[in-house]
Amino acid sequence: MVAKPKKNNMLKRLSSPAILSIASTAGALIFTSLILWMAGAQPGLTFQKILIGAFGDSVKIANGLVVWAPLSLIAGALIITFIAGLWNLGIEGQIMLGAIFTTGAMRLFENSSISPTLIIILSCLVGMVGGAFWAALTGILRLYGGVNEIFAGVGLNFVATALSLWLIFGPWKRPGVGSMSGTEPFNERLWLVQIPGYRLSIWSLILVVVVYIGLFILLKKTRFGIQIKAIGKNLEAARLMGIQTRKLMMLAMLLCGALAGLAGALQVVGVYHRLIPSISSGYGFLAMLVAMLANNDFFLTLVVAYLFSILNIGGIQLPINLHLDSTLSGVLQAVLVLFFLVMNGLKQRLMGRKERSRDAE
Amino acid sequence: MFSNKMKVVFALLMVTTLLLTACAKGTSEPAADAENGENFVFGLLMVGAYNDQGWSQAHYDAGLYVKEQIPGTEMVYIDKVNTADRPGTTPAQLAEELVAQGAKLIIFNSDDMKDGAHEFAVAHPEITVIHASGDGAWVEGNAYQNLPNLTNVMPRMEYGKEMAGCAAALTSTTGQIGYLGPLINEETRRLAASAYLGAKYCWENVAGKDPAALTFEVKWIGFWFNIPGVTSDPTQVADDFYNRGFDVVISGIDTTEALTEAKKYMDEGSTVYAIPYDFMGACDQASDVCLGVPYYNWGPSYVEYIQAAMDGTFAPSWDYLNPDWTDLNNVDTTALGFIKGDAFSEENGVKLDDFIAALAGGLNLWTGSLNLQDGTAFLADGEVATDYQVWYLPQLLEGMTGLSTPAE
Amino acid sequence: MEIEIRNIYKSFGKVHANIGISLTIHAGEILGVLGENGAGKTTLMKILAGLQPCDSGEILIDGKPVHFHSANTALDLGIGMLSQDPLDFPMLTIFDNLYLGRRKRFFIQRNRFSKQVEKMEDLLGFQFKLNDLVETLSIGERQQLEILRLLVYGSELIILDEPTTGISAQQKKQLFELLKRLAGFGKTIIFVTHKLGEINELCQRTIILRQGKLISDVVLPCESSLLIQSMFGKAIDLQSPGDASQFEKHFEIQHLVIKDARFFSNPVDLNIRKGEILGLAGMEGSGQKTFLRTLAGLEKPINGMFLDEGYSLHWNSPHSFTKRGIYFMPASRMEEGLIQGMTLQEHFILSQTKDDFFVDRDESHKITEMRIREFTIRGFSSSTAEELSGGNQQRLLIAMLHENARLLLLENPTRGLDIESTNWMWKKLHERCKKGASILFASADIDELLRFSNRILVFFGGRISEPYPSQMLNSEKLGALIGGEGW
Repeated sequence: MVAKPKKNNMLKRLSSPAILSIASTAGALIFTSLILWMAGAQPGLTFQKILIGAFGDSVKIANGLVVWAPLSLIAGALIITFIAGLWNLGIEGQIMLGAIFTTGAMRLFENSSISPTLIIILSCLVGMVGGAFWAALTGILRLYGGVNEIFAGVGLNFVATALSLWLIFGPWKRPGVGSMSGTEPFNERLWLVQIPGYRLSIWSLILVVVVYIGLFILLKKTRFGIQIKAIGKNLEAARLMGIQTRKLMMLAMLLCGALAGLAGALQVVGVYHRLIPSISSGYGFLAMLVAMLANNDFFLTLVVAYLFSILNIGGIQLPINLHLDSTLSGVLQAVLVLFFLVMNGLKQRLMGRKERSRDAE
Repeated sequence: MFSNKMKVVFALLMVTTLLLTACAKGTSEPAADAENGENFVFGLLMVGAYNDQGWSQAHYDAGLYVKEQIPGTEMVYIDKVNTADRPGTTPAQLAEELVAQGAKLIIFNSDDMKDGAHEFAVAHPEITVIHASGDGAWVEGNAYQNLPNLTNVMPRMEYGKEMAGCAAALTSTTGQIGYLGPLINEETRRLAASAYLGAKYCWENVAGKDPAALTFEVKWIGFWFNIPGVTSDPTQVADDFYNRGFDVVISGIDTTEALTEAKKYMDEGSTVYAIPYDFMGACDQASDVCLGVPYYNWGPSYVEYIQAAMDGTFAPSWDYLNPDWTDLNNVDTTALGFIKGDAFSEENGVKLDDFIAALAGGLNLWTGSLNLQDGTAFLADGEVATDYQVWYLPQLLEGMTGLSTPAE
Repeated sequence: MEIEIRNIYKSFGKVHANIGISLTIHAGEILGVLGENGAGKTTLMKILAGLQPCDSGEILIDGKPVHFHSANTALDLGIGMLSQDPLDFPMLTIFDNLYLGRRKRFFIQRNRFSKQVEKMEDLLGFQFKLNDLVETLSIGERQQLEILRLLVYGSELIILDEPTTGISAQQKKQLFELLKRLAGFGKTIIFVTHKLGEINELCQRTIILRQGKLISDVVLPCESSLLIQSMFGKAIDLQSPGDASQFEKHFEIQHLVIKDARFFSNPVDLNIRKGEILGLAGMEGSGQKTFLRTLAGLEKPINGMFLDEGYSLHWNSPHSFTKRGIYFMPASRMEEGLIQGMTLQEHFILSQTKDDFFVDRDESHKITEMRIREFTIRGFSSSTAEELSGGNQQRLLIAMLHENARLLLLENPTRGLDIESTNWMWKKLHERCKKGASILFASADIDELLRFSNRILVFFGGRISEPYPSQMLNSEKLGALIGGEGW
């Protein structure tokens, strides 16, 4: 049996995801509208408020990008592990450790004579080490301890939360007062430079672009990228081909952890300027949804991450204007992913029939 | 690549979780029409849910009170302003959202929003900022900021806690009083100590019992409310108190586990009581085990600030407010009060009234000699503590059991 | 049961897999279906078993037209098919595997069902322990299990697609006896193969397919050359092995003790010479697989040394084996050999053990195109592995073996290939040997072992024999050794 011609392939790649996305978006919107309607709100008004809340003025657009930058970084990081077939649910902990390490470094250098720029760069690097370190723990547990990375990761998330709380209320507490508001804010000279009048730093955007170019090259153009893809698709075959599966899986975890750590570092130096208890802002799990919805496609990931950022920022309007819980925007995000996956499953069933018949001699 | 099914399960879990959280607190009030140009709009940022039967609800009710008292005012608010409930946002950012709704004055209702309140006040000099709790506007304080548009307000809840301590001591037969504390900081230390001072005074001087027979133990859960896996479970802590023979638990946290747990013990035949905190209506949950509740009444002070802002006469200040000693529970005048619970006996009620009268008459329990928990002298004999000494209390007091600083 | 197929057409895109095939099969008959790879055998069988619809044509059972909606409908009508790759659930017990797919009753009637199975087992001479896990069975045993399952479900027509690949001569003998006995009970058997010997040995009649068409319908026995002519449209010559004892010493195995799931082997000492081909004979699961994997560095031995021109290889890193030019090719193509969802080009990139960080896509594209031509793989460099047919997957696997390989360790390298492809494959492998590579290969095909090996190691129940020069063996002798006699 001859493989299908290239042209068909291209057509399939172009057409079906688009239809799929539209169908699942429509499904998700209808489903969410139903929930809103049951909660006694007008769906149309709600969506309108979300949009206004996200695009109403330049500050709001900038606020959306403040969410977008770390979310994109984390989703990009997750793509590496997803491709390697690793369910890195420990991403939250890796972000937190990145933030913790960054804070630690900032505290260490805060009063030194090193230039602020250098302190920020150093601290971000230390944060990447922190994230990578936490990912390494998951990796070691998975690869050498036989503990499934899901359980190891979730367990380490708890440890990371406890660690950050302990630091905030213990050794790093504000003078006299342990406070949920976090550690003492850093001196303003140690803040990542923001665009005047906005919370957004141009550097976090630049970082996203650089990281994505790097990821694209790494995963598409290098031996490493093809090898982890093989590992993710068929671990045993990859091993038999002589690929160093453990080493590469570990590397994938480390890379993912380092990028998650960088996102955590950005949260510290660019957004909160201190360590707070939920420094990860739940972006880890959100990024998981993003990467799943985008099906590990880089460009789509950036787009979906932006869509989710909009929902996050616009969602603030729900409690203010409509007295609705803002988690509803989270519901919309998750429902979107769910619908996409269901549609994808349907597609595979439909394609599957054709596929099976192709498989003949 | 892992299976599609796994992804569906993951997404489904996310949906369910989020939906549950959304529905749990999801309400469907009509949208506040804040865009009315005539009205003076004020914004309220609450750390907890607006209907939490505690700290945040006391603020929310005060907001409603302002609307009622000053015609032509509108309230916009956002609740659950904390990083766990609204990840990725900052108080200052949310305050800006309220400004976008037309707010000219913003109330930050938590000590945790201190940085956000200051950042916001600096960035928006045209907006009046009220920070409930906090010391940024206190010239003598440790964190003075000198911002022309920031006022701090905090009622002297020390009195309320002294009354709670007294009510506990008068009712307790075992002489063992538990204090269910949140996290350890200056504010929570001074409030726990006040409850102790009230209990000690009434135990010795009103009930006339042996000082040595009084046990006052503080247990900190780690935060203002239960966060599973992070804080100690307040239900467990309260249960432990009652189980060990403590018959009154004074709550210092924002939720009412102590009351619920006391009710459970009462139903099983034990005679135990609890004293909740923060909110006038807190006793209603289990009135037959409630000895009373010290509560905040922010309304009158907010009316004052908002009126001043409307008139253009606002000036920054640090307000450490007294109750209305002539009429403790007058919602139009007092900053804090104490409402006796159904479980509090009438006989003891009279004694408590006498105690309150004595406080009104100038009795100050923060008078030496008092030692800190580690034995170092705090106040010499006859020395009266300054506001500074009370506000920044460095340790618990001698005679109290429990941690003064977080275990490290 | 009498089955009549009328004018079946089936095409996939531009490829016509079946062109107007008509056929009648009688009850109690063993019908052979012969044809080279890609002749349309599997497609026809899948249509017959309800696994895929035909474009046009009809199927009649006992004169009545039937329509299959799924394999289950076919099964209900008494048609069961044994596929090329076992479709069982290795993690479940034998009992559960038999019971799975049985519909109608919700609750498991363990005892009744067990008795039914045991009765059938007695009839067929099987001895399964129903509570064992399927993963402990060899491929031959899994096949028996599959047949048992079909019979328990009441199949009247049993289709076997290349059933002799991957099983030992002994097992093959048992299988043939079983099939003859089943035919004696009145069951109809369709036996798909590309091996002429088997057809003559087993069947009374065979059809031959070529390029989707039914070329001839022959009553057996008949001359092999005639069958070959029909299959390929031309005659094919065979070649014979040489003596390699003069070749230069290459690899050396000292006191190697391997550990299988069931046994430890005796210590093996062996010199592998440059350009030599060593055959590993034995029943499925006798340790050949472990032996190859141990030499590939994928499994650790209990004891022993493996020297590559004096350099001792360490089992801590499988990678170091590949680095020294030792390559392994597994038997199960899609499970262990190839990666579903990855293109041919990516497979070739993966199989190169360069240490370059960046991949030159243009260069690898060229290499891929070259290999596709050289190994006549019917597919494109952008085709994914699962889009290839079984035979082409096998070609891909062999094409992936590195150019500079010095030792090739092959598990059933020609499994599922027809004679022409097999010969061609061995021609390719011989080219490697001429370049100095040594080959160790496991096979269940005695003829293949004798024809292509210089020396043969026999595996039996944990014992590994001294290497026999293949000139000293013939198929009877080797068959006996595999069966445990004459040691």
